Amino acid sequence: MERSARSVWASGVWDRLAGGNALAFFFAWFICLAVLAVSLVILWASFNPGRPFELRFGFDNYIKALDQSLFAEVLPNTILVGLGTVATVFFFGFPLAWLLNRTNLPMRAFCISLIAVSVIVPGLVKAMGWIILLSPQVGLINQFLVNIFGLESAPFDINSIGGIAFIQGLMLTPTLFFLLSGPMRSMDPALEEAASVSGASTWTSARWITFALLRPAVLGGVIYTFMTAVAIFEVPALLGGFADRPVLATRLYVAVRPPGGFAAVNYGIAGVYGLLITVPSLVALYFYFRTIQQSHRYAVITGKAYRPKIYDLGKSWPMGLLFVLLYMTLAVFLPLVVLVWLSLLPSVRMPSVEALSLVSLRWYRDIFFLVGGFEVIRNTSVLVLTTSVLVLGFSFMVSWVVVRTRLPGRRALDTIAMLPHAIPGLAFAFGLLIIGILGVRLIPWLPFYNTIWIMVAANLLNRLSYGTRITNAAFVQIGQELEDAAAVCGARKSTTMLRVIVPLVGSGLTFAGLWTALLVFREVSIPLLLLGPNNKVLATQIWVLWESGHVAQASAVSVVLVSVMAALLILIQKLTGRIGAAQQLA
Amino acid sequence: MLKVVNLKKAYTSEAGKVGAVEGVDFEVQAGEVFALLGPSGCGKTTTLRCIAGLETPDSGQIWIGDRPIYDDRSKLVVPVHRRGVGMVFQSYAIWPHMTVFDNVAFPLVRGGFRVSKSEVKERVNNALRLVQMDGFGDRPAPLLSGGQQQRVALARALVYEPQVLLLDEPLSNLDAKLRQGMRLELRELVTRLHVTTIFVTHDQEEALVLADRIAVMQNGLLKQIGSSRDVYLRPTNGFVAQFVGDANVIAGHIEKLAANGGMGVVQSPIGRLSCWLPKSMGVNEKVTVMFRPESPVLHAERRHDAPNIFPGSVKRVVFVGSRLHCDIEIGSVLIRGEMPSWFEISAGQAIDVELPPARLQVSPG
Repeated sequence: MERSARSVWASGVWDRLAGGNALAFFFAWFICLAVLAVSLVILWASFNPGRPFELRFGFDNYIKALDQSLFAEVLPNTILVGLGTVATVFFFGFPLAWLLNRTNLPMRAFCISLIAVSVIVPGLVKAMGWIILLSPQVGLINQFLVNIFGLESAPFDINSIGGIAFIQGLMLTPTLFFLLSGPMRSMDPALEEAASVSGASTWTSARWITFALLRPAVLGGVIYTFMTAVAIFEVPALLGGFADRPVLATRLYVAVRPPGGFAAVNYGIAGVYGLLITVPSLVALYFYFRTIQQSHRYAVITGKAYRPKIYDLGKSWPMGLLFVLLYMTLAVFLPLVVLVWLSLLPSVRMPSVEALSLVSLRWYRDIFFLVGGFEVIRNTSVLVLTTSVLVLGFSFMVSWVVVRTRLPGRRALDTIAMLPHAIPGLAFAFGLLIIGILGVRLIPWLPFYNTIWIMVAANLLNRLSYGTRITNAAFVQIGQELEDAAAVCGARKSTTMLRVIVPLVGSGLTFAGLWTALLVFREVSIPLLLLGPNNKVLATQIWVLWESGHVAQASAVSVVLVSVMAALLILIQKLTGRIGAAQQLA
Repeated sequence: MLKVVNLKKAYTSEAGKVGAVEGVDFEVQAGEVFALLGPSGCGKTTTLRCIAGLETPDSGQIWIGDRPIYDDRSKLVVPVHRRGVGMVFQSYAIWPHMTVFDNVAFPLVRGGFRVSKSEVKERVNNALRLVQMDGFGDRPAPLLSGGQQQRVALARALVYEPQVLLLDEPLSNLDAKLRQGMRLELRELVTRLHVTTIFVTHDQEEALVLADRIAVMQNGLLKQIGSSRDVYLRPTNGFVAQFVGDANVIAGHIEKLAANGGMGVVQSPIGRLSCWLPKSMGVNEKVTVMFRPESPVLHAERRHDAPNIFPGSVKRVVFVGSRLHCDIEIGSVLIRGEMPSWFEISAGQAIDVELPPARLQVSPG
């Protein structure tokens, strides 16, 4: 077959573009450069004392931000919240991971699924439920105890550093659970048997072998939990108030959305707070990876699928089951039941015969109006769908370049894709806010600032690290030979991607996509910071209703939010059947 | 030294109860090297783990010396860490978070054999010297090669001078060349220390080289116990014959019994075979006649001066270096023979095959 020189040349260019890695390379670098750019904007904003579009440079923001209250109040509060959260997370997470992975507790698989399912009650909803239960003024448990024992004042105060740490601990326990489950399950049982044969008792063997081998995973878990805990915004905002118990995350929010109105906005100071959260996280992330790398050295890999040694709980198994139940009650059932109860009432009331007579579905009849009408439903759908598709697409491209090619710079690409793991979503949202304001000045016709797309962008960047971890793992599992075999048969790179790779990683991608949808749907701090009149979503509606004192209405919308997430979760289970196998829920 | 009586152990799986060990008896003398040999799933590892205490049997008794460590009649189960046996695991189970020294010292420092600090140092160094790993004490465990890990695992099992040493597939994770070297070294070490050793293997050559006595297992039962020589040359059933080395197996029945110490005659598809028959066999009883590939004697010219000579034709000759493998057809039966590599033979050739009666093993069935 003869072809003209021109058509050969043209097909050569086409082959190089579609047949080579150019496409993946372009998109991978596009998204990673965006991550870098937004990170640099945060840095730049902290040095800019004026409005975003005034190109000035100075240390005024730092001088203003690093004041006495920061060192006396904000930093100690933030650190206490972090440490308290870590303590709560370990109190629940470590025993849960051990009970459900290494003992003969009955119904283990079911319990693991339960813990994964607890993701449907987001931190905002947990915090609301617990405020209703334990606030010193209206708290149902407090009132109950005061009445029963004739106390003078409420015994519990959820509006405290301890309360924040408690709620955040309940939130992050599943993450630690799944972080520890992998190492606990993949341990060679012979390592523990060897200790027993050497004459070590069960406790000695657990202390010096099992726990010692888990040390890198535990250390990683501590660092990761602390990092995440200090960056959570919605819980300290609800429980601490903005003024009473300020932490860095709430200070950042107040600097951008001051209660005093637009005139008090100070983007520069917000930038400083953003950096104060981000920099320690980056340092922690570095150590996190150091330990993870070492943990590879810790692993004795023989390519065998281990069945870990299972401890016999004997007669104390009901205690174990009770512990699982305790966690689920505190983290899921109790807050949810309270909110359902509240959503059926006109306002907050103790359960009583009188209250029972007031029960009605009134708020649910008005639910379309309460969630904000068609506009909010449309915004939320667009946000969830586009973000998931974009996260998947970009993660696929990044992992392709990182795992599947020998292109220069792929290491850097992988590291940049991990940055959103360390930079809190709030900081990303802040960076995009600045970009959005600049955009209004420079390209006013672009629909970005004050639209749903700025939220899509912030969530996309925030979820990129999670997406690439899953796609990286999926690609590593597929042998290079499968791809080479397609190439030998004469398939283009794009054909190979579509016909060989995508079908093979399909299940993993579906899981990643749906899980991303779930997490974006419940994300509240990013949309709150970027909230304007035209981009309300369901999660922000709850916040707005609650803050304006419409507690019962907010409860009804929360119940709707939780129900939608439950439906999504059932879909995930139906399509991929691996909820219990979720390795990472962050 | 070690006695196992009527040991039974079943597992419950999706398919119901599966017997892993279904009544095993054996006794190991002090200082003896004893092999449990069999294909995977035959129950050999389960037997070893029952002795170590890592599995609890369903019934039976186990003694170490005159001390019972398991007895179903008195419900006695001595826990693993009180049995005082040494064990080397298939994966070696070297603790990756410790140095070589800490690994070997563990039984003496944290285990059931605690001694004073100065003694720990001395005994660990002695144990490391024993396995030729002296000077490696400070090395972190993950930096060891497979062969070194095996030596450390052995040092750790020997450092407290256990009465019984258990080895689970000790050489299976090493490459072929290293395995041959270690085999001899291991044999020499346990003989020198005079430690009673029980090891599990699926490799018949390993069992033959290492063990004083071999127990061949199949489907949870012992098929034969005997010295390496016995098991190889006098297999008592078809399974043992074919699992330990190559074997030609021919079915037949007894035509004539031995008269006053002479040989009997077995009628088989290749013809009438004169053999030494075991006692307690009757005429017309079905038997299996077995012989090793190296047993037949081949004659290029016709011979009539010896018993059991059959005319055959050479079907295939394969040169494997040190030997020739040849397939020879006698009547409709194909037998395998092994000849020295210098033997002149080619496919299609007619040849006389002599099967000396002393090399034929007859067993019932």
